[in-house]
Amino acid sequence: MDPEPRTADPVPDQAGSGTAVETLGDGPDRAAADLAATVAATGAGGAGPVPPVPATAALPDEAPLHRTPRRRATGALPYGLVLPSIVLLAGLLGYPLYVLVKTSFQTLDLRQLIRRQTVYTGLSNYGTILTDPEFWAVTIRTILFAAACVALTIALGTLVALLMRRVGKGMRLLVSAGLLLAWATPPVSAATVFKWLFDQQYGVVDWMITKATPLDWSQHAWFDGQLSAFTVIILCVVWQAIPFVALTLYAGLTTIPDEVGEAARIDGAGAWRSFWSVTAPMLKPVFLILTSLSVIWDLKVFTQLYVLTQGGPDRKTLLINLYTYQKGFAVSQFGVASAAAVVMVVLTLLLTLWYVRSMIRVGEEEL
Amino acid sequence: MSSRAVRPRRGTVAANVTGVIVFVLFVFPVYWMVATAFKPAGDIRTFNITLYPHTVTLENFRTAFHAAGFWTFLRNSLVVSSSVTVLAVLVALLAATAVARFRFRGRKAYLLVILIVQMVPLEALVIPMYLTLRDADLLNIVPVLIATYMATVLPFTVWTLRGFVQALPVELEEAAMIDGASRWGAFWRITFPLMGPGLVATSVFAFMQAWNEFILALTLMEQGNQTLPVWLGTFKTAQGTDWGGLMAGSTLVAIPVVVFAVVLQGRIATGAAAGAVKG
Repeated sequence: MDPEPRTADPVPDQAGSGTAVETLGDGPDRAAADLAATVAATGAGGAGPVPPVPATAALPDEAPLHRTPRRRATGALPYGLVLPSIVLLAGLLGYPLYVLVKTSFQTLDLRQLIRRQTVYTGLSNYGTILTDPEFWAVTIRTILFAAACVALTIALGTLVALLMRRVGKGMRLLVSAGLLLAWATPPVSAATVFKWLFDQQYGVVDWMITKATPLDWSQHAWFDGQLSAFTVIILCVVWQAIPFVALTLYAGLTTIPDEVGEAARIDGAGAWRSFWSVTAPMLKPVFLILTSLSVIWDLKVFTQLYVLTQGGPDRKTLLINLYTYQKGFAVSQFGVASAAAVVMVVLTLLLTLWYVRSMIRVGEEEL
Repeated sequence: MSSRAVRPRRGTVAANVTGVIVFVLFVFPVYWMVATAFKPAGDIRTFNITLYPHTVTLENFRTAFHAAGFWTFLRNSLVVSSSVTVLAVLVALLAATAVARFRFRGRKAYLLVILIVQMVPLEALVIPMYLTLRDADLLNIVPVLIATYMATVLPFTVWTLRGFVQALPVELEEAAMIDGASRWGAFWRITFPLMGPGLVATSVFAFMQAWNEFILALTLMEQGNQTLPVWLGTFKTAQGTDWGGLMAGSTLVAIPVVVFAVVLQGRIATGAAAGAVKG
């Protein structure tokens, strides 16, 4: 066999040097793409948004220039270096995924669990969930919930980023400090505080609304209705998600020279027009990645839901994660729960497929 | 940007006022958590709400410290989060160096897998993890919990560190090697110290992720032997919710990560200012 690695590589390495020449000229667009790639890297953690600090600070504009000659593969060393991570990921992600799919074809209720029996029942679990009207309600609700959270997060995050561009340096520091605080608060603390803010008896929000408006909202039962309970959950999730989006977009905005906006203004574009026609297209890669990351995060909201409503009132705020959790741990239908979890994984992967595609495209020359 | 001064001043007052509003909106929930934590019980359960504590008390923190098993939860949280951080960063540093500094067959496939596994919701893996660990009699064991956390923390740690290694010019190492250093020596003495900020940042992210993790601790550990987020999620007293104690607890859970986030902000800035990454 020819030991030359290049020919065996699925994507030729020359792509790097080839595209680098064209992309270097793109200036801000390239920088934004680069930033976005790093943002995605730091942000894709499950627990919550991660701020773009390393994206802006550790990878300056010059980063693309480091598309330097890499060393040729030398024997087993690189394989030895990646091996521990491969072993860990295969054992901790690969194996559970395999067990999940396997369990989804089994009847695994309390009786089988205690007797440690294995009963394969083919697709019956999928039949059960797909004919369960609640499963469909929960799935559609989860998608709508995620859509609402993503839309609000991106829209408000953009506004905050644009605001940060307009204010003075001191005010910008103040706003970033506020954002950082909201971002860093653990989701469980955040959810607990939101439950207290919207408490029916002594909640400060009811008190403020009653004080500031002619309405009497004291004793308002936020968690008694589906819409108002969702309002609190969404507020809690979005409050913590905006900082990451705003700070990342602000970092992206700073890569666009002011002259660009001025040129648009000279050409007679208003603020709105100049944002949509000039700024937004330049930040498109950042927007794409932020949107996909938000989709991933908002589809799997669990902690906030668990703390705030537990799916109530009357299971009306139940989302797919909590549904799966309850099917498994509350009623011990692990087979059915696994089938639901498989649907959830497929759903998440489908909804983020284009994100992976665009990531590959963005990072083509780096990957 | 040189053109900052050229930008029209119009709208700056409005922008600054909006800035204050945004700041207040983001800080208020955190402020209210801390403020409530320091209020005496009588000032918490009242319709006569005051926006700041009239009298400051540590009673709520005392309640939190004395809540059942607090110290067990705290110890578990600290042990789990710091072990996950150290392990994940070590393993990821090896992998990140390999993919950023070497070309080898399967490298792209490896990176692609690292990217895609980050999309798999961990919440879906809780059931198989529980079933497997239960069959192997490995539930309720702290080191096992640490291992399961690696499933989420590791992929993103590899991806992040890869970015940091890649940002450091390989020429520095090559120069050292021309001067007679071994490849290992060159990496260890030149690149590794420059990675300081990247390692700190990645470690902090990993720590925060592990510290905030909820569902695995909830399901894979027995009651009373979980981590602080679970303790907080089930914190109730016989007379309904003790909001003072709960807010003190929430504050305690938030302190380490908030402190880390603040530290991180400064560290990263100085690290970049050292100019190392400018090559």
